[in-house]
Amino acid sequence: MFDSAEAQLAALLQGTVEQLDISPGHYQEAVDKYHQVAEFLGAGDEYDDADLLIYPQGSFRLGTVVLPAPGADYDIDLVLRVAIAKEATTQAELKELAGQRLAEFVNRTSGAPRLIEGGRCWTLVWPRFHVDILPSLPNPEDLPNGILLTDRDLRLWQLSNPIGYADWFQSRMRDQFIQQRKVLAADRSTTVDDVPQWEVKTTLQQAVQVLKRHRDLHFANQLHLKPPSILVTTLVGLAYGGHDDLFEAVVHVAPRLTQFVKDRNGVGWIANPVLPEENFADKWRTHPARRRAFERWVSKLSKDLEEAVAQRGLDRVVARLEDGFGDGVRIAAKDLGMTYRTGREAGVLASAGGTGLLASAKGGTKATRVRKHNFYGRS
Amino acid sequence: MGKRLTFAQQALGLQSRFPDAHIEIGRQQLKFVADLSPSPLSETYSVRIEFDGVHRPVIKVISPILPRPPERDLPHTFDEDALCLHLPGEWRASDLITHTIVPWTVEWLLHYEIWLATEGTWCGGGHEPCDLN
Repeated sequence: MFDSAEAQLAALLQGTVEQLDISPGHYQEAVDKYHQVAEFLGAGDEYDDADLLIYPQGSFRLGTVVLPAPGADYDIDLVLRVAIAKEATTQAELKELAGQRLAEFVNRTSGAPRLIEGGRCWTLVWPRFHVDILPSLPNPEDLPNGILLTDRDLRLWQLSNPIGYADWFQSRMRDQFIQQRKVLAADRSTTVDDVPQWEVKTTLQQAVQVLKRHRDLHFANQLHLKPPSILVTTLVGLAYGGHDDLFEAVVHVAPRLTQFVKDRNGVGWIANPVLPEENFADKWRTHPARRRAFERWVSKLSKDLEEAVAQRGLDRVVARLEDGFGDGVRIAAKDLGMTYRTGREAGVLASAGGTGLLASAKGGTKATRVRKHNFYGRS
Repeated sequence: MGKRLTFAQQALGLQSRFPDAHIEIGRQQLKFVADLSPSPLSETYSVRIEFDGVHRPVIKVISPILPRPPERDLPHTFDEDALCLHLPGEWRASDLITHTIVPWTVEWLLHYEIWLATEGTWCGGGHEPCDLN
């Protein structure tokens, strides 16, 4: 069950972010929606050799979705890659072309979403789902996955490589990912390939979710200073020490985040691991307050974790964690309580000698299995 | 139904699993005081169990004083905050306290902490009206 304080803390944090993750049903719904768009446009997915491709990017692709609150709408980011040479089009034309096709989709689709124009993308709005579609071209200098994006002013092409980035993120958790997928396959008596990749949730993915959750609350009243998800995700990916336990992973990562902010000619630099010239901290140059806010946030995160582990009494631990991670921690605490209760009901909860510590029953220890009983008396 | 156990048998059982506990055998009563902690993140509680050889043992948390929300009784307790761990008949004097009352006490302490943390949800199960909210 929970052999250590770290394992209990991990359960509380995991239970907290699970409430904010995308559910399997909603995940499937989102996939169905963008497949519908792709089919209408005649677009292939990233594995196709087609002129038009649609594929997900960002947290939906990485498995690191964190809603601002349970039940909030999902933001899903898609790349729409059009196989035109950049010399043959302008950014305005590319965006216009994408907009026309998406407008046709909306007009001819039952249960049609609304189409909203953004600075550099189009957004399809369904109930619960906001799907951002970012028009792009292939980058001939970074094939097969490099792309060129329209920027906000529709002038300079911006380099990007969301697939390369996702592959990098995956490489940071590869061993655990393979291991967990095997376990899931064994549990379901199926083959590894039959376990969808998105159903595997590694400690690294959860650690990113934990930090994003803390960030969202920390910056709730100062949104203009909030570090972007890609910056947080990259730093966590770099600092991750391979821990299996979520709490140990987060405690390891938190104080190391700033070590991966490099200095290039006096400019704070967090390089895109697959596009070193792209600086995820680019905004810090013109907005130094954001850097200071980032550093204050990292200190607060470390302090929240250190003080939580130093508390005694689950009630005090939960109260301390709530301060940084919100009232979802309380729901996670109920789940923790239910784990002990179902353990006893299943006859696998034991109480050790010495202090009575409750843990999973194992053969050959001095622990005694907790016999079934019913608490009684007034509540 | 098994044979009622003697104070000496109960004390031996408790002593073997809780060597640091304070155990007193009187003519009319067995008294057991020990420091118990249900989980790695939990507080340590000093708990006293008194048993007269016939009736249900009386269990009290001596220290720390258990916090509770204003105007609320502790969950699953009798008067004077004695813990109520089992239905009538679920414990008999032929049961070893060390294998029943003590683990149930530890479980009560765990669920008490969660009850405090969640502002009143008792996750330990048991008799109505104390079921899950």
